[in-house]
Order: sequence, then structure tokens, then C-alpha cells
Amino acid sequence: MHSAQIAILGFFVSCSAAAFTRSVWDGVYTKEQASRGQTSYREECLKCHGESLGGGEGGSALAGEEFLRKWNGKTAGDLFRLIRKTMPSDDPGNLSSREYSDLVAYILSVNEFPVGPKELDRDAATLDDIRIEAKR
Amino acid sequence: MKLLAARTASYRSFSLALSLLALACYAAAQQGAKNGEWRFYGGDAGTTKYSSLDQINAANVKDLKIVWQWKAQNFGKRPDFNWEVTPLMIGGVLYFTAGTRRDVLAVDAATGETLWMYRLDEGARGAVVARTVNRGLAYWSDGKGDNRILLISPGFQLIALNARNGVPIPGFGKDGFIDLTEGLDREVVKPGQIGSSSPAIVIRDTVVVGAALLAGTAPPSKNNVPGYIRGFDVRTGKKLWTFHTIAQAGEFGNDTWEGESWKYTGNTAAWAPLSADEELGYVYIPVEAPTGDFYGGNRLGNNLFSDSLVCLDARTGKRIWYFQLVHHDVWDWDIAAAPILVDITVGGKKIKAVAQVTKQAFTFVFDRVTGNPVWPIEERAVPPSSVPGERMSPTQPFPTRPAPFDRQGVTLDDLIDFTPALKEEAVKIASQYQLGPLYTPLIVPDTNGKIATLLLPNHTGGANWPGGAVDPETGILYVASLTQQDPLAVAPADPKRSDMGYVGRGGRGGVSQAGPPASDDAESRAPARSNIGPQGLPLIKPPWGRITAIDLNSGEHLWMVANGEAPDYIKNHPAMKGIDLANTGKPSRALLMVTKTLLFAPEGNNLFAAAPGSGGNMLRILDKKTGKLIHQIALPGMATGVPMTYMVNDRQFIVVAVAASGMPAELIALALP
Repeated sequence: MHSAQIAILGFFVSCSAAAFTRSVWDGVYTKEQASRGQTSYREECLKCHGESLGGGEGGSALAGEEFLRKWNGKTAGDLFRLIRKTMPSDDPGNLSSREYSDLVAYILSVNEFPVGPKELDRDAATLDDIRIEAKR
Repeated sequence: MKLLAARTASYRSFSLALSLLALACYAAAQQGAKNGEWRFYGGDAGTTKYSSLDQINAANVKDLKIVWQWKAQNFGKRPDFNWEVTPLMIGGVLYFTAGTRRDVLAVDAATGETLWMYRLDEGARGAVVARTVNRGLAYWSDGKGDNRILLISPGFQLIALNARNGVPIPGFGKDGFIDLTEGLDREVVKPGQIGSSSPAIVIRDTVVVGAALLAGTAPPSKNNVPGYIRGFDVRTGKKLWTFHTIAQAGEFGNDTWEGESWKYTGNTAAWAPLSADEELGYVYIPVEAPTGDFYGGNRLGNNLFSDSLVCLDARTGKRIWYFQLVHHDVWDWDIAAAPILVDITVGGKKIKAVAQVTKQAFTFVFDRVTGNPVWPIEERAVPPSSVPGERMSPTQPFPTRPAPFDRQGVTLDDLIDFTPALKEEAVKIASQYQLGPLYTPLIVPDTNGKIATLLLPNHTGGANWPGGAVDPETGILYVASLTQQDPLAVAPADPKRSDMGYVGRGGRGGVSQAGPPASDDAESRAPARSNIGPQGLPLIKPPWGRITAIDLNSGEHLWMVANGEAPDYIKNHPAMKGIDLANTGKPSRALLMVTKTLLFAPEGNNLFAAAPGSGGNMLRILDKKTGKLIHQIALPGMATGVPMTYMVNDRQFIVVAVAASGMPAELIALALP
């Protein structure tokens, strides 16, 4: 392969990595999904992260300025992957993909991102298309 | 003359008999678990966690083997990985709670065979609960065959079960049930607002119930449910009394809640296990902090009876005495451990004492009859707060004896100095924070250029619910503690999410290379928090976990040992090459139980907010006189509950709950071959 071809291919790869088709402001989850996420949150997460998602004994804040500063510019896929890899802290990875996706939806809802007509996907790679932006 | 001599002899023998009887009564007052059983969560009503059994001793402990395992995996909707239970053992049967639904189990104590199970599906009430964790049960017997098990359900109901078959007792409450959400001075108590993690305690014919609420770092409201203490008749379930842990209108202490904050403030429950003196008929209540763990601007004043050790008459609920250990708590240094009852001799005077170990590493010791401190407790001046709306108590109580059992407050001398380079990094990290002695107030971020206050112990350091154990024969107290710091700040609350004004917030700074440790111990759970020290190491000098023996007769520390070995990630850390890591310990609390000669001290983990490298699966058995390790046994997981011991068919058993990240909880029974 010629170096020019490599450069062109590299250009497209970097384009696709950076080409977010949507942001969290585009209505990427449904009200019902966030409601399911709330139920899972209360059962699995609340004891550490607190009632208002403001953090607690050993759990960081999942809503508000501090949280958004940390996640600004990352993707919904990043958030989904991190939660699936590390949570619940005593049994990481053992909720279903649907539950993890619902939890991301609930976190987005508490951070006041708008609801939309379609649920968040359960596939991390698909969720990489959705960029977390603290401000619209 | 003959007659007189006979009378004298008879008088002498009568008085000798009386003295012996008195001695027997005195000796029986606090002797730990009796008759080879374990009738209370803490062994006896005084939570000594002591048994005089000695079939297992220093000479043969190396032969100790696992003889049965009981698996909790399929109890509850999902497996439990943090089972803080200690079973009861009565008449050859173990009784305990298991799984996130808190099912009740009766198991053959010799074989581990399940005898019966009681499962309560509370529906929506039990789906979301304040505390999923469970520590066990209470037991009562009328001595004539009416034997009962008392359960506090996840949905906060008190249930009396027939100990023979697990069937609810019809004559207790309503068909065996009492709704504990009633009578809390709130029109609506929502599911999940209040529950309990520790068991009730039965003293004589009264069952006394505490409560646990959600953690209050960033509460959604200054309004919450109060965690009143209640007493019920164990035969009928009739409510006998309510003790207002938040002093209500017209009650003593009401003036310590300014601006009528007693009307809306909640929490102030007693979530740690309770203790009691069956002879005196008193119950000892370790009360927690009011709503808002780190901001008290909505509840100015000393806030009685928050953070107080309260002694009540168990039959009437009448307050006998109290002592507030933290005034106007804004550090979340609530009383997290059961009071420990022990009879001691101080300066030749016999004292029925109660010792209270705390998160901030104090041991407060009182005469448990009068509430008088055994050694002076001084009110010392502490600094004011700069947080808007906050007002600290100008003084806090400091026991003059015993000395603290862990580090208190932070100076640059407390930072790790394994190498000059590490010390330099540690100083750079620490300089981002407000440092100071115990009771240094939290700050709003960016106050005087500091991000947060560095708290040591933090609110999950020092002693916690595993508390301590005491040897009633010697009056020696053993306490496990965690040397853990945390940068904490208070920040304005988002009014859309909370009406608190200010809430607690983690305050980790940018000058830190902290991250997950390079390699964690295989047996440890994934760390819930990372270190803030240089290169992912702890910031504060070791030991990071310790066991301290304190003679309560003299108030002197006898010995202190590290809790096991340094975690592997520290041993293998490139910056630690060639550095002596003896006596550093794991950053977790051992779970202590004492027998005739031995101190059982599994390394333990025991709090979900655990530090990296906490846990460890070694059941360590120490010489209780010296703290020297006699033997250690690898368990299938880390201990998550306090061990207990008992004798069945002339065989002594040690039973402990274990689990690990990804390894569902189980009970392990050990005995000699």
C-alpha cells in the first residue's frame, strides 16, 4: 500500500472516530427507559451514590457540575463501558446490558438531557456515536 | 457458749454463702457467651464477642480445618457479596439472615444442614430499601418452650418467628408483624427511607429496635425521617415506648435544635448493633448523626441526642443517662460500633463499665450505671467554620484516657516518607488541602486556595460497625481500626436536587497521580476508591490497618499490631523496591472475636467504601496477650462478618461469613479434626 493510500485511510479512520452523529442533547433515550433505570439505580447504586446522585460513602457524584466536567467530550459508550466494567462494585459486570443501558439513560435524565423517541442502545460501540456535552 | 459458737459458725457460713452468691452474680454479669452458645449478635447482651471456650487453643489451632460451608448464593434476587452476618447459636442450631432479601435460616450447627428457611416477599416495600446489608437476628425464650427469632425485614417490619419452624407467631403484633414505619412523626414514610442493617436486641421481655437510613453525604432534603428508638413487648408486640433521638417540644435537649430544626431534621438513628445489661435492665444506644453528614447549617445547635451514647431503661424507655461524643456533627463521625459492656477495676474500685469505640479513634469509657466518665473527658476548644450558614460547637469532648487507637488529624509528619522523592510528592499533594488536628472544619472549595479539608480518620476510617471485642476476665479491649484519610469539602447544593443549601463533596485535587493500583490482591474486591497519595500509594504512613489491645483497668495500650501484611500492589510497586514493608498491614479492619486464650482476627474488608488492597482472605489467630501471630488459615474469601464460636457434641466450632468480588457469600465452619 502506498503511503498516500495509508494517509487517506488514516484520514477516514480519524474522521469516523471524531464524527459523532449525535449528542446527549438530541433526545437519545426515552422516559420509560430512564424510569427503568431509576428502579435499577435504587436497587443497585443508591446506597453508595446517594439519593440525589450527589455521591455518598465511597461513591462519586453522578449528576451535576462536577460530573459533567469530568464527562464532557466523552461518549455515552465510554460511560456505559465504565459502569459495566466496574459496577456494582461488589459484582462488576453482572447486570444485563439492558440494565446498564437503562442506568446510563437514568443518569442522563437526572442531568437534565432531553428525552427522545428511541431508547439508548445496549451496544457500547453504537453508544460511541453519542457525545456527552455539558452545554448545548 | 456452744450455741453461740454454732451460731457464729452458721453466720460465717451464711455470710460466706452470701459473698459467694454475690461473687457468682458479679462474675455472671458480663462473662461473654455462656454455655457454649452464642445467643446474641455480639455473643452476649454486652457485645463482648467473647467466649470462654478453649478446646481450640494455641497448641492445636494449626490443626483447624474447614468442616462445612453453607452457601448463600441463591438467597435474594442477586447474590450477596458483602454478608456482614454473625449467626446466633442456641441449642445446636444456628440462626441467621441471608441474601439481599434477608431470608431467615436455621441450620444444624454441627453439620451445616439447612433445617428451615423463612422467606418474606415484601413486594414494592422490599424492592427499594434503605440498607440491603444484614448482620443477623435476635432471640428470646421464656424458658418454657416459647422460643422466638426476631427479624427486622429490609422493608422495616419487625417479625417474630417460632424458632422451631420459622413460622410467624400469631400473637405477636398483627399475625407476627409490626410495621416499624409507623409512629415516626411523619405523615408519609416512603419505602426505602428507613430500615435497619443491625439486628434488634432483646433484654428480659423487651425487644429494642434501632434504625438505619440512607447515607447523608448529599441528601436531597433537610427533611427526613427521624430514627427513633422503640421498645416492644416481646410476647405481644405491643409498643411500650418511643425514645425521641431528636428532642421534641418540651423535652430535655429541644433547645439544642435551633430554628425549630427538630421539626424537620431526620436520621439521628442507631444503625450500629445495640447492647444491654440484663442485670440492670438497661439498653445502650449508639446514636448516629442528624440529616446532612457534612453540613449542619439547617440544624444549628448541639443536636441532642445525635452522636450520643444513650442509656435507657429497657422496659420504660426512660433516659437514665447520656453523653454526647460529638457536638453538632459535621464530619459524619457518628457512633458506628456497638457499646461494649465490661466490668473493670480502676484504682482498686470495681466499675461496671461501658466502652465506646469511635470512627475518630477514641475509646470513651463510662460507668454504665451512672454515666460518669471513668477517666476525665475534657471539653477542648476547636476551630470555627468558614462555611456560610454553618456554626460549629466551640468545644468537643476529648477523653484523657485511653489514648486514641489510630492517627487523628494530619500534619506533614503523617505523610509517607519511604523515600525523599515520595515524601516530596506527598507534601505537594497534601498542600492542596486544608490540614489540621481532629475537628478541623470542612471548607468550601477554593477557600484560602485549598480544595478541601483532609480528614483523618475520614468518615469511613477508625473503628466502624465491627467495633471491638473485650475479654471480661481481664478487662482488655481489642479494637480494629483503619488509617484512612479523605479530602472532603462542602459545596453549594444544586437547588433542583437538594434544599440543603450546602452538601458534602469529595475534594480530590489535580496534583495527584492517583489511580487504580497496578495490581491488586487477587483475593480482594475491586477497590471502591483509589488512593490519593504519590503514584497511587497511600498518602498517610502505615500501619494502614491495625489491631490495638487496651487495658480498660488502667487505660493503657498494651500492644498494637498491623492487620496482616502489606497489600501486593504496594509490595510490587516499583517505587517500593527494597523498602521494608513489615508491620504496614492491610488497609482494612480485622473482625475480632476473643476466646480463652486466642484472638481471632480475620483480615476482613467489611465496608463497601474500602481502600485499595483492603480485604485479604487470611483468618489470623493471635495470642491475645501479646498480639503475636500464632497461626493463619487461608479462607475461600475474605471475612465479611464478625466470627462466632460455639460447642456442639463436645466439638468447638468457629463460624465466619466470607465473600469476595465475584464470589458469592458463604458461611465457613472450622473445627479440629
